[in-house]
Amino acid sequence: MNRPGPEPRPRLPPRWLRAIARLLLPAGLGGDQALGDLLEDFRLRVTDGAGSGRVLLATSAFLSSALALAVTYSLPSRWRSRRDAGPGHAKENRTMTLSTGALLDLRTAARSLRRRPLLTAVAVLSLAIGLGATTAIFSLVNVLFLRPLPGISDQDRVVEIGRTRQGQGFDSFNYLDFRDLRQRDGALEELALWSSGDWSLAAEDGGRRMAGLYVTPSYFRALGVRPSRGRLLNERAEDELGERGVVVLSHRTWQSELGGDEGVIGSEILLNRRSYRVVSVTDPAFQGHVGGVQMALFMPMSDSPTLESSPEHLTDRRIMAFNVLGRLAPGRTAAEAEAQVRTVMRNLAETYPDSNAERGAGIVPLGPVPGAGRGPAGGFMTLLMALVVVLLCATCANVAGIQTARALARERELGTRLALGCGRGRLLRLLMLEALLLALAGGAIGFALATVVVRALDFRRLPVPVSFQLDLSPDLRVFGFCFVLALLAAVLLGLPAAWQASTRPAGPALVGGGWRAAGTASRWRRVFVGVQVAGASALALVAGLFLRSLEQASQIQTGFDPSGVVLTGLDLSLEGYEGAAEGLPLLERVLERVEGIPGVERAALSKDLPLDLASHGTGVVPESWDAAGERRYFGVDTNQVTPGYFETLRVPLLQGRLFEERDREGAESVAVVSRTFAERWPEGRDAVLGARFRYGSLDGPWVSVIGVVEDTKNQMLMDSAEPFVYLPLAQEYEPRLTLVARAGGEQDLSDELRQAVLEIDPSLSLTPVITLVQLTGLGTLPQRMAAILGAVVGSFALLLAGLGIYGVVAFQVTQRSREIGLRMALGEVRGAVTRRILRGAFRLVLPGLVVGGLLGAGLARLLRSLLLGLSPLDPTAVVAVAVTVGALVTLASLFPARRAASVDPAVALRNE
Amino acid sequence: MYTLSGARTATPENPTSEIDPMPKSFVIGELEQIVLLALLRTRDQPYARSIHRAIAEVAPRPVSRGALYRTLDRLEGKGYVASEVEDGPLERGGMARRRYRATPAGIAVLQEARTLLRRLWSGLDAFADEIEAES
Repeated sequence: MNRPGPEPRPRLPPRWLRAIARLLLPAGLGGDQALGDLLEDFRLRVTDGAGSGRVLLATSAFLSSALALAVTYSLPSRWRSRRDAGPGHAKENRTMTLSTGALLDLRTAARSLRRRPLLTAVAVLSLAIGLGATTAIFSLVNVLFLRPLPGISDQDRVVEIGRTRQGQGFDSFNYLDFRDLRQRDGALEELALWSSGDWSLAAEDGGRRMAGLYVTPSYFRALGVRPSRGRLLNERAEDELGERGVVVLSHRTWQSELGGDEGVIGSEILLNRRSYRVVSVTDPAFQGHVGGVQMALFMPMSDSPTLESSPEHLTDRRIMAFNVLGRLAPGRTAAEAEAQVRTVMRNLAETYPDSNAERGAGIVPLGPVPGAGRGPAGGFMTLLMALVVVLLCATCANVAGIQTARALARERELGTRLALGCGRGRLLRLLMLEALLLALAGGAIGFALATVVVRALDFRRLPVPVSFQLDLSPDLRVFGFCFVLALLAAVLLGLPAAWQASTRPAGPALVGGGWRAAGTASRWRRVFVGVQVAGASALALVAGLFLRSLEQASQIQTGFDPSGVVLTGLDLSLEGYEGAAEGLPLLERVLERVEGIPGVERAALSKDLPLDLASHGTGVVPESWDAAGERRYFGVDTNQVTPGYFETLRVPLLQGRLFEERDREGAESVAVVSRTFAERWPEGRDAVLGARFRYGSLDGPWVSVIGVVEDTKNQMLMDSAEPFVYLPLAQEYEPRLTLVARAGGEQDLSDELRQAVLEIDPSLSLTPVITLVQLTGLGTLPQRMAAILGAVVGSFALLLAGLGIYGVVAFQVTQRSREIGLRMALGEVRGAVTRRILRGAFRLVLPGLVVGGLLGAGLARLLRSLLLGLSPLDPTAVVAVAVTVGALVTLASLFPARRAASVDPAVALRNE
Repeated sequence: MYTLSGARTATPENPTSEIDPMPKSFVIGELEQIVLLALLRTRDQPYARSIHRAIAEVAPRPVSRGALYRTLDRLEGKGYVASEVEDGPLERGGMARRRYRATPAGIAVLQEARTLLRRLWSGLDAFADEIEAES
């Protein structure tokens, strides 16, 4: 998107940043020179640096250098000029005191932080973790919802239009409705259709699977996409679906598949064994309008195989097969467009009540996540955000606790300042500056942490067929978020300490009785520890619940054994094999070849796999119902498989026999059914073998049951067992298949499997070979993500809470050393002292633990759909969290307690 | 850090010093000396940034930018360094910069410092070798 302007200007930081830097530097020539040098450094960092983060790095270096110069250059030169000017000039300098004072305070604050390096390090690290986690999640939110898509011009004018049903949902559209929308001039200047497609591109070393879109020519106009070569799609006379036989390639496809051949425009390429003329290559930045998915090519909607095989898509208002994009006319708003679209839909509902009743439309601005997926994705991200905000609150409470302790420890110093005439405002500013420095340092480290963590996320390894790549490098928005968050944190953690210190009278602190006598401070600290414990136990509970649900998931009987099975997908309809007559012989040869690979125990082909999130349902009519003339179905899920399927997946046979080679075209139609099918069979389980049913419709073909196998989980782990019917692939042909192979040993068969298939037909395009464990693992991916995130974030929070408890108990022990000494002098034994301190610690923590437990259960309730049926107050998880927090409290308070008990009473009394 | 003012070696506690009290013009700090020498090394680019870089290349410990600016200001005040203001190029946002040069007085003071060091080291060659061998 960064097109060079007419005159290349050197890259400089934004004007406001330069203005801030100028303020930090001395007035006059010296400051000008210093700023100029900083700007040169910045430019050098930007031009010489590598990676997309270099501007950020340069910006932060620029700011930190300016801050450093404020302390090492501006301040000394001001003192110097004041000294040189002598007392007579004091009045002139008064205007400078505010900024000079702030700089002085900054210096004092930095010094006071440096004096206690351990406390400062703990504070900065806690903040870094809290801010880093929040920033990491926010950078995902940024990429998924906020960042503009590359290569699209004026994205704020592009909208997605979805069909609603009674005002709900965001679904695909019907072609005739689309045409009616399009005929209305007004708020929308372009309307376009798109639907996804996949292709197999013929290449020398086997075919290549590519994901792309079928689009109307208006698609590119709606998005404002320009071609880098050639011209985009043309309309044709009869409709808006576009000319046929041509294709637009993405810049990436052109580079990677055609080697960037300059003569590509006008050349022919083979897609799904058909020849298409390349008319254009898109702008290099443009990757399609779905965030992270790199569309390989764009084909006119008129070439869509769906329209070819079922032209009623264009004439029947009941068929919804298209997605709609639009561009707002200049000066018009999305709300106007929405009103206009709604009016059209209302009119249609009146004109065509049969098809269009209850049908409406909604408009959302175009974003990386398509309109239909925005709800669920937004929900999941909100929950992740809630988790890290809890963590951030816990860390802020932790650091606020540390700051309050620090202020108490410095009561004498602060009291002296007050007594010597330092204004309370000034004191407040000093303490706030300390908090600010801590927060900024924590924010800087947190930002770096977030960058590293987010970069480590690798979506390319997800076993999905499309090329999916999100640019997760942080941008200025993420940086700004982190910065503002750090400022907020500074206020949160600085205010209590500052308030407390600046409202105290100066006298007592100096006399030595101290502010300790006023109990507010320890009350504040109790609150902080409470908040920390609450946050930590909430996170620990969420983590515990997800770990428990994963444990439960591993105990669910799936009915098959995924270990040792590898798989790859192939689609013969894309490869030019017409129907069963051409497809089956090829598939037989493929299976024979794959089973010949050394180490392969058994191989099979099937339409569907268990736990792959997909299902194919239909209905069957038992013979008795058909005879009785009952016009109803028995709903079942179905799959078409080759004979080796059950052995490959180790699905146990319960009754009868499995498919054999003889169950092919021309022989009697047969089926293997699942245990649940047999149990729900009208005549009972024992009567199912040999029984017959009509398959697919009321007058479908008759099929006989030859065997019963164990139930398998079809879509997801939480599915209840449903009736399932397996048909032999040879009798019920299906071109879109998965090849599964079981290895006898541990070896990785990926390469062999691929090679074996390509030996049969080198132009076949296969999906990447993955294991069945990977595929079925997709079903528990959200649980695993939540468990890992909860565990990591929760452990940090627990660690911080432990430190906080330690701090409070240690402080109390020091405060009460006189009392403890007295008690021991009067005969209390050490054990009793330790026990009493531990009891106090538990009393301190208990409210936080209860609140945290409830908070955690609340969070878990929101996440209930992911808990695999586990109760949000699962006793095992709750007890585990309580025990963990209990152990933590004991551990954190044991050391100070023992130290207190080992004090010599005489010494303790004398010290006071 | 010791200074080359010479005053320390000629204290009343050390009356046996052979060194004469130094003239006033000789007062120059270690950092000032480093900056002056670095300025002489950056012949074609005598600007603050280049001087900073030249110091970073040879100095045992880093010198902060702020300290450098302050030292340059001080040297200019003492008359050891003179500067002309130049309009800045586009890449520094048009910000002015100073082109520094060492004045004859500055070069003389460096010369004196060097002579002093030579004199202090003379006759200590064996010791110098020993130090070198140790390091």
